[in-house]
Order: sequence, then structure tokens, then C-alpha cells
Amino acid sequence: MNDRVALNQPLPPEMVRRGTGVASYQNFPVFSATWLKKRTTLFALIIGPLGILMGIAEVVRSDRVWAAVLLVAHFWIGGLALTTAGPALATWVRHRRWPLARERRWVFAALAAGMLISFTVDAIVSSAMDASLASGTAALPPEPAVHGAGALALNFAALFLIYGLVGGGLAIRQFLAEPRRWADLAQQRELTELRARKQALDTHLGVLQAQIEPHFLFNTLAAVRSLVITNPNQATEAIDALVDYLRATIPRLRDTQLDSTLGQQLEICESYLRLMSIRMGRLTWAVHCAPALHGIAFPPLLLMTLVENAIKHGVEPKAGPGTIAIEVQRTATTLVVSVNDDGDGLREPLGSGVGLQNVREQLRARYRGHAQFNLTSATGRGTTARIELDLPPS
Amino acid sequence: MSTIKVLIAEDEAPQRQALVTMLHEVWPAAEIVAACSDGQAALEAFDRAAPNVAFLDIRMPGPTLERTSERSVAGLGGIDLALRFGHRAHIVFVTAYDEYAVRAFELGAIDYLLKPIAPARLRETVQRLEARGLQQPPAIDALLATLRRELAPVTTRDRLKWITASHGETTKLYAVDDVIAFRAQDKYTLVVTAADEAIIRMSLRELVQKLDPDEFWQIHRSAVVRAAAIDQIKRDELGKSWLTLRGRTEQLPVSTTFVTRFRGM
Repeated sequence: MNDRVALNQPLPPEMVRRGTGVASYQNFPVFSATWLKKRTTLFALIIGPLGILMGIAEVVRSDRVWAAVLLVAHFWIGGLALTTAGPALATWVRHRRWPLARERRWVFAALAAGMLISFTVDAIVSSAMDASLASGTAALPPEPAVHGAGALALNFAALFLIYGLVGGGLAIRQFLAEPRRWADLAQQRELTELRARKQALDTHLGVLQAQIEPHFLFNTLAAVRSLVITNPNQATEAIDALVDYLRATIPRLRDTQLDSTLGQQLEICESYLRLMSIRMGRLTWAVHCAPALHGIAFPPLLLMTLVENAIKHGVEPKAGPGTIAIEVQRTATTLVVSVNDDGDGLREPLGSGVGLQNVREQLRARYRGHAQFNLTSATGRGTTARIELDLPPS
Repeated sequence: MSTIKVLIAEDEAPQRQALVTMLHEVWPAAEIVAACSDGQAALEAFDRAAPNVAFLDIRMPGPTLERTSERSVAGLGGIDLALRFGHRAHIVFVTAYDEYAVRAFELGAIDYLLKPIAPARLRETVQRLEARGLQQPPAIDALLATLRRELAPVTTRDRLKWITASHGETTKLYAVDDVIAFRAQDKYTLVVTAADEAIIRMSLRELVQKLDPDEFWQIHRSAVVRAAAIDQIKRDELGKSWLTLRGRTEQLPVSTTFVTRFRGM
């Protein structure tokens, strides 16, 4: 475990449950140098003002500035030793990067040593303080002696508890849980990655099915066969477009790559639209995208699924001329890609199509909330499918 | 011998022209009275020219509906046309691939052509039509009705994944995964997501049957909620129970049967 956990790096956000502002030390591995620094700062912020308040109270009470300064200094030293000695030793231990079992043993030992140190420091400081205070005021009545072994044990237990808790006892829980939490996180990440991969595969499968879908294939062949006789030039164009489309999509099916650019995806859509417009003879289409945007990363075949949908549900069922337009726009923080058709709009009140489900799930798996997908239509007229991706600021 | 009048309906222009050309060669006796690109044009041409043979592509834009009660499936224009004039003309269906349809045609003795159409196969079809004498066409209505049902996209059999709902002038697609509640509103249903609401023209009772019962629980005759979105159930002074959903403020009524079931868990 130890060889994998970097002590100088903040913990991944998925692992941190709280810890903002002064509590931000919790964002770092327990007993790491940064953790110690931030934690000590936090305690210093509490102990510092508290000591000053005590000093002021002492000046008001006894009017002796030197005694007050001593008191404050003693309080600071005692408090800092109490809260930091154990954790500082444990931090030293952790940075030795020993094997886990050995590290654990020595962290416990370090905390115990810390308690001993702070107890000693406290005893010295207290007696020094008592001496300096006693010289200024009437001697305090002697504290009633605690009698009996039971009471003594209780006293020790209370002390142990306080020293233990403040001196790193709470941190030890986090420390012991850390390996398990790292393991959980690794598992979680693996799961997310697998899910993204599965979604991409499903989309690929969807496109593959559409390609070998007999209606697409036989209708394309029928169109080409017809054109060979009536319009050989167009037949050639149709075959070229089909080849472009198949070539652009088939190799991607084999290696199922997850990376592609917007430019590549637009090209696939264009070859498909070119073919469909020759076939149908009533389809016009356009792609509006500034060339500067072609290099932006864009998930494979999502756009193709939307274009196919626009043909199948928008243009094909509607009589007369049909239009499909792909628009790409970039704002400061988002990329908006939309596919518009001028068909009859969304009609079926209920659907169970898996194509759009794939689009949605793939976006969710890859962008985790930083992508939107929606499908709308002005009542009965045309449909717009819209993907919006958050872009890292450039 | 009466003249043979042929109508062709095929939405892809190159294929339509090729069929016209091929038919001229294969069947010189026939007169092609119309070659149409969609169902509506074909319907009008049929009334005008009264053909006795119709070559119909199964999948193409259908004719405009006269009555809203007719449940037509978008894109199955050929079937819709055959239902309209199949009793007045011999139908030859043209299809790229419809396994089910092809089997049905063979059983029901309806002629069909597979794309791409080969001239030899077209010649066979023509011979069969001539042999039949082009008298009274066979009754095919029942078969067509079955076909239309079978070729329709499978929305009824599968789990519901999408709902389209109107919101003012726009219609929007909602993923069922995003829906946290459905509420009955007379004959309509209110679809509630974390961020949005919309009305669909379908009763809650119809809708419930298409939802996953593990995912959505019917808590009242007027409300179905996503189980994972339930926040709490509270009983008021009158003894009625109300349910709130995570992140929402409205209270939904809960039936006593559901309360009993819920307590038992």
C-alpha cells in the first residue's frame, strides 16, 4: 500500500468527506507532512488566542505583566506539545515509508511517546506556572488529595482519554481506515472505467447493427443498382460515400477506441448523409462547424447515432423534401452540437429505443454530469437533438 | 382484354425510376399510370387513375390520416395504402428485408419483391399476375392488419425508456431514468423529474403497466413514485399518510394498503 500512496499529495476528492477552510488538513493523508503542518496551524489558531486571553486575564487580576507573559508562553508550549508531539512523531514514522505492519506498530508507539512527552511537558510547565503564580498571590489552599486506588485510576483514565484524543487519537482511526479507503476508491474507479467502456461498446454495436441492418444494406444496394443504369455518375458517388462511411466506422469497431475528435465524427456523418441524399433524392443536408473546432475531443459515434435517428424518424416517414443540419457552436465554457431535422417532430408518447439510451449513458459515464443531452421539437414540426459538453477553460 | 394499369409507390427516386424502366421492359402490355414518392400522392393517383395492379414499397411515408382514430404506424406507408385499396387492386409489396412480412406473404399468397429487384424475379411476378387474370383481388385485410402490428416498432412489449411530453409549444423527450414521480391528472399524467414537470396524454393506469415495478411503486391510485427517491412518509392529525420525495417539497397522498406494505419492510 505504502508504495502507492503519495504522502505529499492531497487525497483524491472522492475520498475526502469533509475538510474545507481550516479543516483542510483532512484532505491530506493522515500523518503526512502537509497534514501535520495544516493541523498544527489549526491548533495554533485555537491555542494562540486562548493563551493571549489568559494572559490578559492574569494582567487584570494580578497586574504583573512578566508573570502573565510567562503564563502565556507556558500555555502555548504545553498546548502545542499536547496536540502535536504525538502526531509529529507519527508523521516522522510515516515518512520513513516502512512496510505497513511495521509502520502501524511504530505509529502507535509514536503516539504513545507523544502522550508521554506532553504529559512530562505539562508537568514541568504546570509546576513552573504554579511557582510563578504563587509568588505573587496568597498561597492557594492545597488541593484535596485524591484518595483510593479507584479514584486514582479514574483520574489516570480521564487524563489518558484527553491526551489520547487531542494528541492524535482521532487521527489514528483515519490512519487505520486509509488502506481500505484506497482500495474502495480503486475499485470505484475501475467500475466507472468499465462502465464507460461498456457504454462505448454498446454504441459501437448499435452503429454496427445499423450498418449491417438489412434495410440499410439492401436499400443502398438497390439504389446503387438502379443508378448504375440510370445515372452511372451518381452510382459512383454513392459507392464512394458508402466506402467512406464503412471505412471510417469499421476499424473503430475492432479496437473500440474511446478517443476521437469532433472532426472525425463529422466526417463519418457527412459520408452517411451524402449516401442517404443520393439514395433518397429528397434530402438536403448541411454541417456548420468552424474548422478550428475539429480538433476538440468528441466521443465516437454518438453524433452518428443522432444523425441516423434524424433520418429514420424525421426525414424518412415524412413525404416530400427533408432537411438535416448539424450545428456546432462553442461558447467560453461549453461545446454545443445539435442535429436538426424538419420532420413531423416527436410523436410517439412512449419509447423504448436503446439508441438514445446509449447516447445518454455514454455521456454520463464519460463526463459525469458535465454533459447534457436533450431531444425537443416545436410541436409537430422538426426535432432537435442537442449535446452540450462542458469544456475545460482554454 | 381490359388494359393493365399499374401504380408504383416507392420513396427513393433512383429505385422508383429503375422499377418503371424495368417494368416497361418486362411487361410491355402494362400501362404505368403513376409513379409516386409517398403514400398521399399514391392515394390521390389511385382515385384518379384506378389502377388494377399496385407495386408498393412497405416502408415509406404513409398517406395523411383522415380520422385520428386510425392507428397508423409512421413509416409503414405501403401497408396503409394496401389497407385502403387492396380490395380494388392486386398488391405487390416491395421490401428490402422484412423476414416476418415475407413469411406472411407466402402464407397469404400476396406477391412480393425483394430489393434489389432482379428482372427475372419481376418477370415471374408478372406471369403470376397475368395467370390470375387480374379479376377480383384476394381479400387481404386481416393479413395486413397483422402485418402492421408486427412491423411496428416494439414499444408495447419492452420496458419504457423514454417519454415525450408537451410543454407549451415544445415537445421534449424525458428519460424514464430521470423521472421521480408520475401523478394522475384526470385523463393525463404529470411527469415529475428533479428539475422539470410535464404533462403527457396518457392515463396513469396505462403507463404503470410499462414501468418496472421494482423501480417504481404505486403509492396511491393517483401517484407512482421512484422507490429510490422516497424521502419519508408522515401521518397527519387526521390519520392520512403523506409521502415526500427527496429534493421536492410537495406531499403525495399514500393509500392505506401501501402504508401497510411499506411498514412491513
